[in-house]
Amino acid sequence: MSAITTRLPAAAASTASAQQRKARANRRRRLTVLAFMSPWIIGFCAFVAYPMLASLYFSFTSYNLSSSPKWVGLSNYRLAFGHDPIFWTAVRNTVWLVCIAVPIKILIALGIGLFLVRVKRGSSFYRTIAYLPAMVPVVAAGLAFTYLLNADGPLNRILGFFHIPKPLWFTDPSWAKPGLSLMMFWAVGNTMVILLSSLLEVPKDLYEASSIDGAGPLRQFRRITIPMISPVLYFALLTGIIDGFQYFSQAYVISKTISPDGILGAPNNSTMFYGTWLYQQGYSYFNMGYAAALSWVLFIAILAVTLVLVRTQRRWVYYSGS
Amino acid sequence: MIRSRLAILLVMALVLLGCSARITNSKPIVPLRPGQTHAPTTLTMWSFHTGPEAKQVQNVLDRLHKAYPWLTVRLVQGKTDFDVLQGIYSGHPPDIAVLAGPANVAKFCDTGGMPDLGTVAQKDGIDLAKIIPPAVLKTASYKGKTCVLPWLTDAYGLYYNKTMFKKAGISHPPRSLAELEADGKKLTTYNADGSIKVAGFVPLSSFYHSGHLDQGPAFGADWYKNGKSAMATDPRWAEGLTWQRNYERSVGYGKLQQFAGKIGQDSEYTPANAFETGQVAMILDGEWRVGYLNSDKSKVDYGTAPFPTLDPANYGSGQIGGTMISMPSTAKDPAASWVAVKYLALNTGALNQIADTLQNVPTTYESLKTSAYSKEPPNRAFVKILEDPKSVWKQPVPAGQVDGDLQGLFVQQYEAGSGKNLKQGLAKLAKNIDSQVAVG
Repeated sequence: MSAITTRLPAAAASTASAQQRKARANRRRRLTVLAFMSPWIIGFCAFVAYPMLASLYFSFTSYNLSSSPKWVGLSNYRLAFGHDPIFWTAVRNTVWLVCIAVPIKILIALGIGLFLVRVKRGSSFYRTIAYLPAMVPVVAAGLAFTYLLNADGPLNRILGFFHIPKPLWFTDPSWAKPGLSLMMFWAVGNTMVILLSSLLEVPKDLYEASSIDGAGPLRQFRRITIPMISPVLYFALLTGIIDGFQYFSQAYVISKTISPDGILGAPNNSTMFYGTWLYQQGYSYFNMGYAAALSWVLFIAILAVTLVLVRTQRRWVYYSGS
Repeated sequence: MIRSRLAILLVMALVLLGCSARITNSKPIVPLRPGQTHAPTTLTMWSFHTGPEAKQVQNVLDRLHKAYPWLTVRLVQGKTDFDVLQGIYSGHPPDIAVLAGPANVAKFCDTGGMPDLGTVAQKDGIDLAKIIPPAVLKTASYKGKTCVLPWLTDAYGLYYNKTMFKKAGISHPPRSLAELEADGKKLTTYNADGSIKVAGFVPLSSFYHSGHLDQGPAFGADWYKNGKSAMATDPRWAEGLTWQRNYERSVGYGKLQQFAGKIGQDSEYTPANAFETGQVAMILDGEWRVGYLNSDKSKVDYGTAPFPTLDPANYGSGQIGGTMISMPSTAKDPAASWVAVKYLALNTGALNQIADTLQNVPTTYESLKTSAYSKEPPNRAFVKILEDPKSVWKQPVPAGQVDGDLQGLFVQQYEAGSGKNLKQGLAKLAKNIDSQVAVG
């Protein structure tokens, strides 16, 4: 009896110490993992999580850098949706860009890609030429386009030669966005490169088999090329839309160049995009609280559109491995 | 678990609150007594100036060093108002700050970011009102506080082509907006296809600096009354804008747009400027155009005058507003900063030097009399505009330039034909301005 009673506590003690050892080992392992991950964790907390939380907090305050933030509840959001006419102008301009210019840009990139796939001789040269504009700095491109699209500039002279009406690209508000879009289409190099690589990866035997079955080039394009490159098209669309929502640099350069006092959005706010209005509020008017609210509205809009695209991709994106 | 989450949230909230900006350690400014010594010190001055302009600023800083050998000022170029604001509220301010214009004066004044230099000057035995003309001193003040000192200014007036005037039989520059329209139409010539060959005047708000036509005393309208936007309540806004649009319609809005587009906005600061090349007979522009006309070697025989006004009683005045100099309330050695600010903005020799080299209007009575700039005949009109007590920059608000930008957008839309009911449009504009001002 006494042997049993002395053995039982000893067994229990050894189980407990084994558990403790295991727990210690687990804790040590967790700490080791944390130690290795700490550079990223610190970076994430300092440069992503904290700024995001801070901007969320500021979006509910009146904060102009010059005094402590004052809690104003939903006032900034109410101002944006209810009493800020430029907010809606900026939204309309941005939606125009996302819905019209971005798809056209992808189509142009696809067109160039299709052309380059078919080029037999000098393909490297043509690829370089097609990609080159993407390497031009935005400021240089913007200045070049203000000259090219001047009312009396080279493009209008060519149009005039063919008796085509000459638009006042960056003077007439109705032509300013198409003018900016031309600049966007000119620099499609990055999109073109990824589409070109996906076009080159479409198996040749699919085309050969389909042509034996009597499929013409259009049918091949619709039934083979598009499905096979659809994941890349989806990626181009998704990144293009996100870029479109955040469109800023080109509009900034152009309006600073063409307006007398460097006022953003010129002419007549036709180039005032969501990003430029957000910048104007934050860095010209110092309305950090309102700018933070605008940035959260933009974040939610991008998130919503991205979720819709992610949810609907199964209907039109074909993954050959799945 | 819930407790630990709450604790994390509390810590985050405290961190967020702790990281918000505050002005700390603002020291009282005690000006040095005459003859009082000071230990050698180096101050930092942030300014928007760059390139050749910064070189001229440096020359004046060298002059300051000669006058006060214990004081060295290091110039940091290309700093915007935003940089200054960030510097002040992050606790790393410059010792002296130069602002590009009056747009943010009210913000710096209202929040205590910059001290009331009027009081400091008084302590130093200086009465600013006796040194600086009232109109320009007003551009540096907000609610009775003068938080910055004007350090040269811009003044807007009319440039007219004397040869074209003579040819058209016009004996003197227009004084009223009605005269401006009549002369402008008389001076406008057309090509065979009906497009404008030479414009008498381009009233489009988007053309060069014509936007200032409806922002300054040409209309003479108030921006605010009783703390609210006066866009709808001051009838001069509607009257002026109606005149502007009628003028544009009578020439042809499309024709004017076509003409402005052909000239290109980017030609403004080049020798291809439409006035400098004789494509436009009259322009509304700042005093700096004289310098450009000289450096571009323009052959145009021109004259300068105050810009015409809606109300004849306002003729002679114009829009003004320019560079401002001050010191942050948190400057580390406020007495030394004040010595530098005072010297640069109020010392006649120093102010004359910078006015003569940068070709902007000097901002003290003495410099307006003695600088070489003021004696040049084309600059006389701008000197007089500055001296006119009715000359203004729009009423300042802590929200900055947002009211001007919203008004500018409204005018462009109205010119283009959208919004048939002007009064309703102005009422909506006033509401939008008030909303934005409330945010600031």
